[in-house]
Amino acid sequence: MSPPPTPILEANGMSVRYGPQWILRDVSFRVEAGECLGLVGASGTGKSALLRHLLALERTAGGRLSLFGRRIDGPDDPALHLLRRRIGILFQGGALFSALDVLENVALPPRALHLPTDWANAMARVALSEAGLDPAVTGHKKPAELSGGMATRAALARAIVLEPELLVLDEPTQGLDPPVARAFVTALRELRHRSSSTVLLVTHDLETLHALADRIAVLGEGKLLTIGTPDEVTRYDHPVVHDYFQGWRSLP
Amino acid sequence: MTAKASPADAVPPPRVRLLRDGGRDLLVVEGTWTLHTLAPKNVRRPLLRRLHTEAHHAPWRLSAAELDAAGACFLLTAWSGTLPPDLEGDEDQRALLEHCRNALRGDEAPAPRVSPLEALGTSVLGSGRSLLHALEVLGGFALRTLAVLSGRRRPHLGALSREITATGVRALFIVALVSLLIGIVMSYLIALEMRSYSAYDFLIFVLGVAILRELGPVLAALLVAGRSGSAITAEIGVMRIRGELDALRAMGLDEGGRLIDPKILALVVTLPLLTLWSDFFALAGGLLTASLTLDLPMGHLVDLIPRTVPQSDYWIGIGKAAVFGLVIGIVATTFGLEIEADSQSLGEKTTRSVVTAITTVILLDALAALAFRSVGLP
Repeated sequence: MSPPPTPILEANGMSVRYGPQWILRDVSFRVEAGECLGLVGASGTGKSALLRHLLALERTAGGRLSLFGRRIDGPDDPALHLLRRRIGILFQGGALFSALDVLENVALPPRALHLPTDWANAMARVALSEAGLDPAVTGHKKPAELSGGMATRAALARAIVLEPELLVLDEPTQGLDPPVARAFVTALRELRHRSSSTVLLVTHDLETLHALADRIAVLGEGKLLTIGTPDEVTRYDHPVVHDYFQGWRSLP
Repeated sequence: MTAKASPADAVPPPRVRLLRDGGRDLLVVEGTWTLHTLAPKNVRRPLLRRLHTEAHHAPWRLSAAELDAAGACFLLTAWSGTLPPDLEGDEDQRALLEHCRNALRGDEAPAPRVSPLEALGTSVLGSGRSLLHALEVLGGFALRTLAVLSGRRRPHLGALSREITATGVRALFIVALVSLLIGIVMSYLIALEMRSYSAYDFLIFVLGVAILRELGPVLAALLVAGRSGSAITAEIGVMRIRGELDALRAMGLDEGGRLIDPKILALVVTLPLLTLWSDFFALAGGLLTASLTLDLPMGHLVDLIPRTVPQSDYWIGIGKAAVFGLVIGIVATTFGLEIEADSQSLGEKTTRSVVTAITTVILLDALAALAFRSVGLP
C-alpha cells in the first residue's frame, strides 16, 4: 500500500500561550505517514504543551492544525471524535485507570466502540503480548500493583489496541531503568516493524530517540529550532542544539 | 479508516464462502477482515454465527484480502480460542492467527468469587483494623499533645491557625443558616401546641434544653463531619498517594505533629465555638418565631432563658462538642491514612470516613444522654 500523499499531522504556524506567557511561536512541521518523528527540547521548552495542542486537547493561540489531512478548528471540532479513534496515545506516566485492572484498561478502547466483550478482551490480550506483557499473568492486576516498566507497557498496549494510524508517545521511557527502557524500545521497534504505523515521539532520552526516530524536531527559545534527520539535526549550528546533542555521537 | 468514513465499495467485505474444490467442501474466509469492516453489528453477527457453528464441520481455508490483529481475534473468539484442525491458507495470516492464539492461551483467570461469609469476615476484620488504626492515631495525638503541654515539643501554631480557619471560620455561614432554620421550624411547631396552654415558660425550657444540650452540638458536628471530615480524609489520602507523606517522613519531619495534630486539634477547638455559634442562631430563630406567633415581646422571652434553662445543659453541650470534634478528627485522619493508591479507594474511604464520623457522633450523643440523664434536667 503506497502511503497517501497527505501528512498524518500538519502544524502550520502554531503558537502556544498560557495566559499572558507565550510558550511557543510559529511552529510549523509535518508528520509524514510511516515515519517516526522525535520531538525533543530541554525541560520547559513546551514539548508537552505543544503535544496537548497537537492532539487538539487545547485551543491554539494561533496557526492551523490538520490531522489526517483534515483541518481542526479547536478542541470542540465535531470531527475530532472520529479522528481521535485513529490516534493511540501513551501518556506520560501511563495514565492507566486505577479503578480498572490491566485487561479492562486495555480493553476499554474496543469496548468504547461497542464491540462484544470477548472480542474486545481477545484484542486486549493480543495487544498486551505485543507490548511484551503476559496477559495471563498481568491481565488481572491493578495498575497500582505494576512496576513502572510494566505500567508503561500496559499503557502502550492500551495505545495500540485499536492499531492506530498515529501513535503518540509522551516520554515513554521516563522513570525506567536502562535495561527496562532498552527492552521497551526494542518492543516499540518490533511493533513499528510489524505495523508500520506513524509515530510522534516526545522524549528526553537520546538513546530512545536514536533507536526510534527517523526525523527529529528540536524545540527551544520558544520556537522550533530545527527539524530534519538525526544527522542534519546534530550538525545544525546552534548553541542550544549543540548543547542538547552533546555526546550523541558516542552512543552505540 | 473508520467504518463510517470508508467507502463501502473500496474494500471487499468480509465473508465466508462455501467452495467445492475437487469433490470436497471447503469454507473460505475471504474479503477484508479488519476492525473497521467487522465493527458494524449487522456485518459481525451473521459471520460470528456461521464461524461458530461450522468451526469443525468442514476444512477451512484462509484467503482474506486483508487480516489484522482485530480480525484474527474475531476469528479466534468465534472459534472459541482454537484453530480448526486443518486450516489451509496464507502463511502470514496463519502466523498472525497463531500469534494471537498464543496471547489468548493461558488461564482465563476466573474472577475470584467471594462467598458472602468471606465478605462479611473481610469487612469485620477491616473495621477492626480501622479501629486499631484509630486508637493508634488517638494515642499518638495524646502523647504528642502531652509533650507540647509539658514544653518538650514545639507546637505548630501556623498549621493550627490555618486549620482553624478552614474548619471553623469558613463553616460559620452554613452553621448559622442551618441552625437558624431549624430553630424557627422547631419553635413554630412547639409554639402552636403551647399557645393553647399559655405555657410560655415551658416553651422556653424545651427550646433551650433541646438546642443547648442536643441540637447545637449535634448540628455543628454533623455539618463539620460532612464539610471538614471529608476534606481531611481526601487531603491526607491524596498526599499519601502522591508520596508526600513519605517525603515528609524522609526529610525527618513528623507527619503526626505537622499534619495530623493540627487538624484534630483544630476540630477540638472549633467545634465548641461553632456550637456556641449554632446555639445562638437556633435560639434567635426560635425566640423570634415564638414572639411572633405568641405575640410576646422578645425581651421577655430572652429574660426567661436563664431562669428556666439550667446552665449545666449549656456546659454539657459544649463538652460534647469538644468530644465530637476529637472523634471527627480521629476518624477523618485514620481513613485518610488508610487510602490506597487508586482512585476508587479515595472515594470509598472518604465516604466511609463521613459515615463513620456521623454514626459515631450520634452514638456518643445517645450515650451522653444516658450518662447525664440526672444532670441539668428537673
